[in-house]
Amino acid sequence: MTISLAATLIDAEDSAGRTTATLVASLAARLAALHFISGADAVHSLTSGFAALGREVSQTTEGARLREALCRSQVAANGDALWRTLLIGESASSAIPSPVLEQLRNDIAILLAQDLPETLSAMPIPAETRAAPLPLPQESVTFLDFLVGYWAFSRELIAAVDALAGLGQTAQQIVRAGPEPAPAVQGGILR
Amino acid sequence: MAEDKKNPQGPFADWLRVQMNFQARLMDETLRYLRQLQGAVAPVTPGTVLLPERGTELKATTEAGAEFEVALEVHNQQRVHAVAAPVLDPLVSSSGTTWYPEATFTPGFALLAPEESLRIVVRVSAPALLPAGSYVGALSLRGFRHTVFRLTVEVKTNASSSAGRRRRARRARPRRTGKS
Repeated sequence: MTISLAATLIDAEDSAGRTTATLVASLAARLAALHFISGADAVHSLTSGFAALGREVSQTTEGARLREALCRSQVAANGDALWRTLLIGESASSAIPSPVLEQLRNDIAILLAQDLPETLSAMPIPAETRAAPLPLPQESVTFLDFLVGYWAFSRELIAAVDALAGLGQTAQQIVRAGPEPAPAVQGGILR
Repeated sequence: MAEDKKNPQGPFADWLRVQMNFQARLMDETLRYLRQLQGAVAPVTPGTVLLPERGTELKATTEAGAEFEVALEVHNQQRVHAVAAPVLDPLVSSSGTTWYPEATFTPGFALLAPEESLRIVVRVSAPALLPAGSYVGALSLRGFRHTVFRLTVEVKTNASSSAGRRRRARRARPRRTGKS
């Protein structure tokens, strides 16, 4: 028995959408923002973003399985203890969650853009201005949320790089000729 | 006595409570204001929206120990590459049984070029010991949690396995012997 359904991936309403120019502008703005915030703010924002992703992924079968397995081990207790004692959770909970998965996907899309050289030659491109206030910080960023999110992000990164490599691969097996063998030494060994 | 220390009464205590509430509100509002100020320099991340074409309700019927398939056709209408990675949520029955389905996704991850379409096949196998009932869960794409396909699976008892269970139950039933 097969059930069929369909869906379309579209741009968000009331936005400039995803084009090579907007993605490059967003990346440039992300890099420029680093000059206005502290390193701690950047790390807390990323931690909060991974935790937000972890909370989302924990609702899926794979994420829930991973989370349960981690909960049954010493990892969860030790991680929570570290998280609590070093106040990692408190700092990350007050930071704005960085949309890590969207940013990764946008960076991958830039790498695949056909019109990237033309877009880069048109720099600087003004970044889109934010119409709405930033999302509110998460109530509590837990260690397990972060770990599951980091796992999901890393998995996506590996899958994306594998897919990128797959685009350039022409043959299943690659055979390269090795260097010419060195000529055999005649006579005895010098001591 | 201990309760009095926890909830002190009197005009000074009331004044202190009002002051603390005021300070908490002030802190909250200051943080909110600073966050809006941060919005002026925070970069915007262009995103993607998943738009279902033929509804979001999915209904499947299967037997315990059998398999069923869901085929999801995804079309990228954006001007740059997009990602499609299907995920399945645990399914819960009305009796409270939670089923963490064993599923294979083909492909499990895909990069979609602009105007490219992709057919994702999700093959779900129901465990042989799964109790009959109506299970509800969700099928979605990773990162698009705001749009999920609600999946309802009617699990019927496998006729052959239920007959086998009855036979085993008959065999396990204690028999009367003449000795007792």
